[in-house]
Amino acid sequence: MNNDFETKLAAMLPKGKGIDRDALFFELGKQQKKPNRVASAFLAGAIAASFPWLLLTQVQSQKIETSPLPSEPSLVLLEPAKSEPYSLLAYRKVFDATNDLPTLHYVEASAQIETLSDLQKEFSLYHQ
Amino acid sequence: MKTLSRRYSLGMKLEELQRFLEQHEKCLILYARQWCNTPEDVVQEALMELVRKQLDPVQNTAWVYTVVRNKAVSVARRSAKMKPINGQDCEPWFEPNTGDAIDAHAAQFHLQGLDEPIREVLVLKLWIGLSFGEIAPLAQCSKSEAHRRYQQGLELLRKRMGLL
Repeated sequence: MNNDFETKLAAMLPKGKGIDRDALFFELGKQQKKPNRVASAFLAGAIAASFPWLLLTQVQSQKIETSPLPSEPSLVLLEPAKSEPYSLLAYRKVFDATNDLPTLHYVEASAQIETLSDLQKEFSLYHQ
Repeated sequence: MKTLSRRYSLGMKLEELQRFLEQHEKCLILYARQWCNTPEDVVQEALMELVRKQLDPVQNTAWVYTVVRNKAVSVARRSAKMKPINGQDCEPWFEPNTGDAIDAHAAQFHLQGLDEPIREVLVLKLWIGLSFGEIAPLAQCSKSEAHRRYQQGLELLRKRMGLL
């Protein structure tokens, strides 16, 4: 008797408005922040796996822009590097994009990259 | 390989947290409701603390529930606002009924009428799915006392819902 009652009670699904997941994930991003060079290198590697023609800059903006055409160089802008955590949104996009790839190419992001010209130079060196 | 490992490590933390939320978010909110009227805020704070301390959510599930309990009790004490007994005055605790399930609204109403120590054990056992051994430290009682409270709670609930 009790078992049936228990089963029916347990079958009721708890309801709630839910928490602010974005705030939580942002906090997680902050905790996972590595020194700029390491974080950028990681992101560079992940992005390079998805977009072979890649230009990477040290975090100037909170958005990622990539060319839809793989044959064209893509400009990837990541978030502020110095004091703020890298954008979790950006990170998630990168991670999702590379999730199924078996290997990653490693691109060493230069801390001296400041301009598009620097980027292109870095890019060309890597692909020589 | 080094980069791959790093990617895996960072990715897993995010995924683990997401999986943990899928499994526990609503249960944690239900648990916090036992003491306060702002359960989402309490759960949010507890999870932020978990992340700041860089604890693995899966390995620290009991810790999360303990922190939620402590914070919910603290909020209730600070606000000095007792939980409304009448179910019409607060958010629904459960999703609406389906099939021949027990009337969720009635169940909530009668649950709210139970003493807090008994209600807590019922919530931990029925909807969070803990064993009596896991419930005991949370409810701050012995394992046998947790079992006794559970049986008593079931009987009271059945009686009050007219299901005896």
